[in-house]
Amino acid sequence: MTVRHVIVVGSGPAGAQAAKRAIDDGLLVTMVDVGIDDEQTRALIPSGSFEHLRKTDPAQFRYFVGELNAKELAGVRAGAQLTPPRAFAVEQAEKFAPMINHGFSPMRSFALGGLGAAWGTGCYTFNDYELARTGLAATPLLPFYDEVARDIGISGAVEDDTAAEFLRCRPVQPPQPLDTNAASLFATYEKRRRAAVLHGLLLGRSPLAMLSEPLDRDGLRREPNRLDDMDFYSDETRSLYRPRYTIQELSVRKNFRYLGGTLALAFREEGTGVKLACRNVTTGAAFELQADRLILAAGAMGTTTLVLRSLGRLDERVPLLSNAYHYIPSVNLAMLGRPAANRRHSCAQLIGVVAPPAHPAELLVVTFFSYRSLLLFKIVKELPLPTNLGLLAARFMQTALTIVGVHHPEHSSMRKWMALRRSGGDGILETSYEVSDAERRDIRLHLAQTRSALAALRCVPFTTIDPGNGSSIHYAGGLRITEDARDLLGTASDGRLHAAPSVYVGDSANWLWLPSKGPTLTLMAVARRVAAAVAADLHSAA
Amino acid sequence: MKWLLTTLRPDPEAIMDLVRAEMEPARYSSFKPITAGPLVAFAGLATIGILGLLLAPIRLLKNFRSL
Repeated sequence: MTVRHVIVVGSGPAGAQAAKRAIDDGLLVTMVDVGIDDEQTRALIPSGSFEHLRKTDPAQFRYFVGELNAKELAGVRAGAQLTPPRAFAVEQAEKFAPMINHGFSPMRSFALGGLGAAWGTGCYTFNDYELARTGLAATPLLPFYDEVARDIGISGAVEDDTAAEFLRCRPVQPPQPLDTNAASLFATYEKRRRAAVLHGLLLGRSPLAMLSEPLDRDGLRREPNRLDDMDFYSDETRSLYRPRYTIQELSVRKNFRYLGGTLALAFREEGTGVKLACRNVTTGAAFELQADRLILAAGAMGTTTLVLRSLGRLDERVPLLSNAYHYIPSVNLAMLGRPAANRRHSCAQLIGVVAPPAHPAELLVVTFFSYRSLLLFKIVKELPLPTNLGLLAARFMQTALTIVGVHHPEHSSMRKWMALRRSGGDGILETSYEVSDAERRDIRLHLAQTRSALAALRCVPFTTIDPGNGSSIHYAGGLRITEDARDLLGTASDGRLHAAPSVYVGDSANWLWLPSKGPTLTLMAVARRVAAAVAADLHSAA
Repeated sequence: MKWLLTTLRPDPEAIMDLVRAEMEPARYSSFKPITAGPLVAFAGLATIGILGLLLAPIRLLKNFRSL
């Protein structure tokens, strides 16, 4: 039997899962990826907990803060961020895909593992309403959530109030233990649940792609999280899922080829298959690859750029979706002045949904982080106090400090668009993101409701920070899911592009709406579903 | 208000000194949380706030002169 060949563009969460499913279905897979990596910084980090390294390692600045100067320091904010060992995830994006942005600051990746290399590991299933609004039918997608859960390992609490909303997949490993601050907040929630629910808030432990039990995949073993609070810097036990683990696992399979250092430029259909024009990013040499099918998983903006360029749709405005995001630094009064254990993980501890009265189905998602391993200078630089007093205040507040992230649902609008412009050889993607007065009013109401819900938990917000459009790092749009085959920028619900039936969209580029939940788990499930559809298509053709 | 708060923030050089200090293992205890009980923590924060307000005019003047 002839082995059918599929090219997957991109190595992020979607690309890795699409490749895995395609290989499991007996296809030959070539993954095309630029694949920037940073083994060097990872290798700098000695073994040990955050506290141990802070106390003992004279070279800790190299991985905790890197080579900062006073000017760069101005851009460092107090929220979770790209620490030096994760900074490679966004390196050289402007070089490989230049953009002109108006009111929008996206984060893009050409790294091995894509933005998944820096992912906070929050795993949230969409509910039926959210899937329908996004254009994804629930019934065919739900089994693929389970496939992803089996593959990457998800820990979470299936008995919490939020489980029905976030954890529709199985298997689920036992939840990670809460840190002292989150345990205190959760205890307050359980005591004052009625008051919280009156404000529309339900709270639970955050489902994470972080192991609480060992996981074996084809001889590659990942261990449970050590609770050493080093998750923003290193992951010795590989307890947090990263797409590069899947690629490493696949690289021993004979029907997988990873083509790193390669930029995908455009596709064209030929015969019953497809050709992909590529460029070697080191030598600049252009070449073509040929396959039976092509799965695009280069991220919403990357995939849209490839499609627009390949179809010659220059200067056409297409929708751009990105959740509005704010964070609210707050003090958990119950923890003020109290000690906190150092044994903890660094990712989101708790997750909540807030149902706005005007649109109760369009939930807001609030994530709760305790501020421990992100260093105090980031707080001191934001306080309107002299350095010494600021440091004292930060030390008094540290164990009680809670960073609450608020994600808002995102609707398509004519004021938020991207377009491929003719410029040099490859064209340049232009984006514009303008928030309407009605959206601004909704966001203000959402934030006010969230602050009231926090107050019900005895958690006092002291400011609300808007990090800017695009900072949620959740992107979608560009193309659209539609059954209208005349729509050449449309895809079928299984991702097949109407304009080029050998080409499939395996990421969020064809979503019509973005719920406030982090999309990564759904992206991976969609990618698997698309790969399964490709395999079924090729097997039936054979 | 936003301008005032921004102007009152410490200057980047002072923060760079703080970063260097925070990265010194020998100074670890100077960056540990102060956990003296809720009442002391509240009183500490209140005192810091009052001291900050008292020092604000001096810092404003200093920042103005460096403009």
